[in-house]
Amino acid sequence: MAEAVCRHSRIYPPGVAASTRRVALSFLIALPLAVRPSEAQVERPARGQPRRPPPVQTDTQAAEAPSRLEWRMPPMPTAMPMLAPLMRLRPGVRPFLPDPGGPLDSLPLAAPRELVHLSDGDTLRLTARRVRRTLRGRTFVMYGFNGQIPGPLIQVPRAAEITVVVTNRIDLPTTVHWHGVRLDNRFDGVPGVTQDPIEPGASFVYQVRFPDAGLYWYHPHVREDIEQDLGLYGNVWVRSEDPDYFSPVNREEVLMLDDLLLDQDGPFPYGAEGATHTLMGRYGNVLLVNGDPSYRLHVRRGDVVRFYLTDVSNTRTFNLRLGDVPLKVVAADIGKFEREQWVRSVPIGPAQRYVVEARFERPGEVALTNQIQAINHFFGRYEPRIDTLGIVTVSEDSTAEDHADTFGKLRESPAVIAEIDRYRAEFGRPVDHELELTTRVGDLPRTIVQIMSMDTLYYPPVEWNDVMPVMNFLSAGNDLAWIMRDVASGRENMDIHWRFRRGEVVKIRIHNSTRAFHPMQHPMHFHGQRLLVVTRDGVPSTNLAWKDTVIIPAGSTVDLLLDASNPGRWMAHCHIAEHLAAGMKMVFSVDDGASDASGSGQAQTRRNSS
Amino acid sequence: MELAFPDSPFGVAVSADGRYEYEVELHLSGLRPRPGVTYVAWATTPNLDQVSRLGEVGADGRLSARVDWIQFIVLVTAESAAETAVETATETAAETATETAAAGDRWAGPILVTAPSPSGRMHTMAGHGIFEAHSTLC
Repeated sequence: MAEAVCRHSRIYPPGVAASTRRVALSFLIALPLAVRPSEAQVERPARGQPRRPPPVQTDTQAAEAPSRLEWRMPPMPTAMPMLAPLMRLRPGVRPFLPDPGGPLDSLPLAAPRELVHLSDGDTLRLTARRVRRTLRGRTFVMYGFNGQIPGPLIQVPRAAEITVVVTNRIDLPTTVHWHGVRLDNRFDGVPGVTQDPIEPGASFVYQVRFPDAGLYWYHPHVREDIEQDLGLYGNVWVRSEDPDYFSPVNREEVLMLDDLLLDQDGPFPYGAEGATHTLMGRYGNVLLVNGDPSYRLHVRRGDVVRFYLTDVSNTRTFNLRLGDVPLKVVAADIGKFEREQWVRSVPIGPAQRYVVEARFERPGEVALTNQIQAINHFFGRYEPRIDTLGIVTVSEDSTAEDHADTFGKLRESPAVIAEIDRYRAEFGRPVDHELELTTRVGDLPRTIVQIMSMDTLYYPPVEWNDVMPVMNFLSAGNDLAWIMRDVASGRENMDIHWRFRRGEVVKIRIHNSTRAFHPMQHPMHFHGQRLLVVTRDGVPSTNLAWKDTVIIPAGSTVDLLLDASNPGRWMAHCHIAEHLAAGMKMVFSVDDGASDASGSGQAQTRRNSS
Repeated sequence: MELAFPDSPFGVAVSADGRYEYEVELHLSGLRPRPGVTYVAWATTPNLDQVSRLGEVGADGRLSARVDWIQFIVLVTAESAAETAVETATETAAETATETAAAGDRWAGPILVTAPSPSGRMHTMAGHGIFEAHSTLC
């Protein structure tokens, strides 16, 4: 079995033939790389696949002698045995880790995030650069905007427009995408759609306007699986001009939730020519809050804290809990819910944001945990898992200002309800477009295909953990394609091109197919617009908020209304970074020239799809 | 039987410890009305250590209820008001049931229908687990 698998075109066994080693090294010298390929991988190119060019080269790296970076097996949970037929396999891409560009000690230490208050017309300079980071006793290279992880927290008033000068000082091309913001299309930061990548050493000037209050974030739209994972992310906090927009609280905390996959040598390598972990996405084994594995917060007894949460991980869906402290969810991606609601935990998927409030009544310590039912496929069972992300210490001192009364009440937002009312008549009308989410198996080894086919007898609605770390790691490049299929036309991914008129309201149905090779949840993101989730599996939503990213569990069907208010060519995609890398993206256009912008007038029903 | 997520502000309905919350919709046909007999739906965990009475099946053969277990079996039994004792398939399960359940909290009548949750099909790398012999209806 193992021998048969090793002959597979996209999987390379370890081991080097001396005759080809020289060829590999010559190749490296001729094309100095940001990657350090293992000899074994270089000398066994994929069958039927031309060797692709390296992702980037810089003068700094050109002067360096290549050193060795070889694939190693990914970290495994101790209770999860490794399947023998898979142990000798390696992905069909070379390993990549960022090069320090000199002695590691010469890199600046990653700094904590700084809050930057900006007003309309202000300019911010953001530089993506390499930084040094020590986690779990290992020191390694990460990336940071202005040397910070997370990047600066940008606070702006609603309706402000700012200028952001982005300079690329890392070893990969990059861009900055302003996630969730209904900004001018040309500044959306999507290479190949709205701009060219910013090459190392180059800059790009973004003009960003913020028409909606809410919590947004910025991140690269080039190799998110690497750049975002290694620290290039930050929040934009757009404050409403209404002082009563939220209830009074004692404190506000902006938390970016992340994970990082570390082994004994530091970050587990990424794929050079393309992402690894395309099957399920890359789950980390160290959970981070604002880049810190040991988040701490000190509050007084009786304090009410408003938490602004963003999941910036490549793949992980969290189920956050603050002990038994009652939580009130008040807002989502692009503003408030119609009604505040008590919740016991906060399930949040990649790129989503939620705003929750908590009141700490009793002194002591409260753990911020990710509490899930992890799947152990080997033993075919669910296992409760609790990971602690941080600790909130509640002092004996009483709060300086008691907001117990307002916290105890659930508010409605008449303004949000009134705005959504303008769209409510469209909730029940026929679907304009329908997407099916599925997969297509490419060069994946037969062993994995066989095992996965058995696994797919059952699919969990959400994969909270990496259920098959080795098979997941081995899927890379052309092994697997993740697909958005337009049901009406049969077109897939970037061959789809929907056209809408500005001001139209489009009803889109997305079905996450269970007939896929590996069904799993997808956090689907529509750029540049806002949307409402009107039904899930036929169950009407009873408490709405404007969103830009919606999680669709395996087997589920979601009907959403897209408010096509912002002209331009926009991308829609799965926000699992490795699924995006495996093709799960499409483009839609909103043509200018129709009546209304930005949802300020009566919603227009879409009558004719084009 | 159909399972759906109840409405949730997050789009995924889970408990604080991460268990899925399901709306269970039962549609039964062919149940004949019998004097003194009510048809009752139950949910139980795979090892029968927990039982939840979902409710009586209506005259139209329908019942809606909520379950927040990851792996479970839905049963429909024919119950009479006088029967409250517990009868289960295995002695161990019966002992556990007797210890933990109040009278009337478990079925006493004959089981007419069983429907394992889809999670019973989870692969074990060495077979297909505890529900291998069951046909899954949902």
